[in-house]
Amino acid sequence: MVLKSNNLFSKIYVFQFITLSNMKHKKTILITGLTALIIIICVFVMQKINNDSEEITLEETADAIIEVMPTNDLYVSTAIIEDFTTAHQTEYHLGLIPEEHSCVQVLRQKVSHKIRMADIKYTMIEPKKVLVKLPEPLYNASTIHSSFVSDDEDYWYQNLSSTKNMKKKIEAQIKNRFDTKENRRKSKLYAMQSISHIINQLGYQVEFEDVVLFSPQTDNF
Amino acid sequence: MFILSVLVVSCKDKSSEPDKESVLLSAIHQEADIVTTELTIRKIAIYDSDKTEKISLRDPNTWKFGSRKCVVPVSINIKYGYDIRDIKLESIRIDDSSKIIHIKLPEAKVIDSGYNTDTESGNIVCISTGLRSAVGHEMIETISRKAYKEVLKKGEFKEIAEKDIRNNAKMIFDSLAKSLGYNGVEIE
Repeated sequence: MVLKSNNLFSKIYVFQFITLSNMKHKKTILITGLTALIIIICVFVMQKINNDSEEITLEETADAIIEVMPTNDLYVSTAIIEDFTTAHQTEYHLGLIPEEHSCVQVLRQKVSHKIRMADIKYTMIEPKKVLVKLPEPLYNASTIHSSFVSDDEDYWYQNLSSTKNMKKKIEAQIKNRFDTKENRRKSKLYAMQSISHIINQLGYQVEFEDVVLFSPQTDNF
Repeated sequence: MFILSVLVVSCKDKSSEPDKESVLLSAIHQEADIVTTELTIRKIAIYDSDKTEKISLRDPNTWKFGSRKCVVPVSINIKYGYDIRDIKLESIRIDDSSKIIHIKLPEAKVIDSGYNTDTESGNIVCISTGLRSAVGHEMIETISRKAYKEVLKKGEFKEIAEKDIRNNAKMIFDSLAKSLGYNGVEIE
């Protein structure tokens, strides 16, 4: 009888121990689960708030005109060209885990050929006829749009002090595309037409030195 | 192993510097514009998120902790002038007695414009507080671009430079007239 009761008590003790262990185990799981849930909610909320992708509005400030210069240029041809360049870097976390970073700098320029009017030579060859010598067209580029896109703005802000070199590279690429021999020849032709127009309006005939014949080649893009 | 190494090498080739084809957005256009005046405008672009952002309890996108401020000086170049093709025969009157050419100029227009993207980092001031992300290159480019577009849109420079534009145009057409044996030009 004593032995049986001992068995019963031990069974009860074992049962109580198992139940208590299970309860502690469940408590741990519950706490861990709740913590994980709170973390997930916090991450979700943090992603939703502090969203900096909204439209930027600038404050009203005055436009200060620094310089007003006379110029004397005839713009004869123009195009808008957009180009880009990329940069890649590897970041090592704790010196071991690599993470690849990439960025793209885009530049859009209005490019043109211009003729310096002051460099055009006029010689009267007959009472109502002018001989015109045109100078070589000059390349001109103005940036009208610039943008920088990256996978991690913070990283590139810290590791790329200036985007100047990337922009210089793109400017050279754009110049190579537009400022070709064929396009210069075409620009000179346009200049001849423009100068002829204005001088004809004044009642003069125009003849050009180093006449440029039209080439059947198309734009060299 | 051989196939794997070939695959790795080919992947490496693909990830190396891509072919940079210029994107031509427009073909070459013939122009006949005489640029008579070049203006340099300095615009101080100021962005302060505290003054423009509004918090809405219903929209979590507007919940932001901290603020962002940025001051970016932008140098804008504008070239003003006239389209030669708009100067017609009826716009020109020659006074044979005084040998002066009278020209009625068309409306002046912006021939070329652009902004300097090489702003020195020392001239840019940017601050971000709280949990806001840092003001990086992307934001600075956006601010510069907006400032440039605003200057062109407002067009305040046109009124200020109007007199200079006409004077400069007279100077240029004067030199053309004198090279053709006239005494000068009068702009109407």
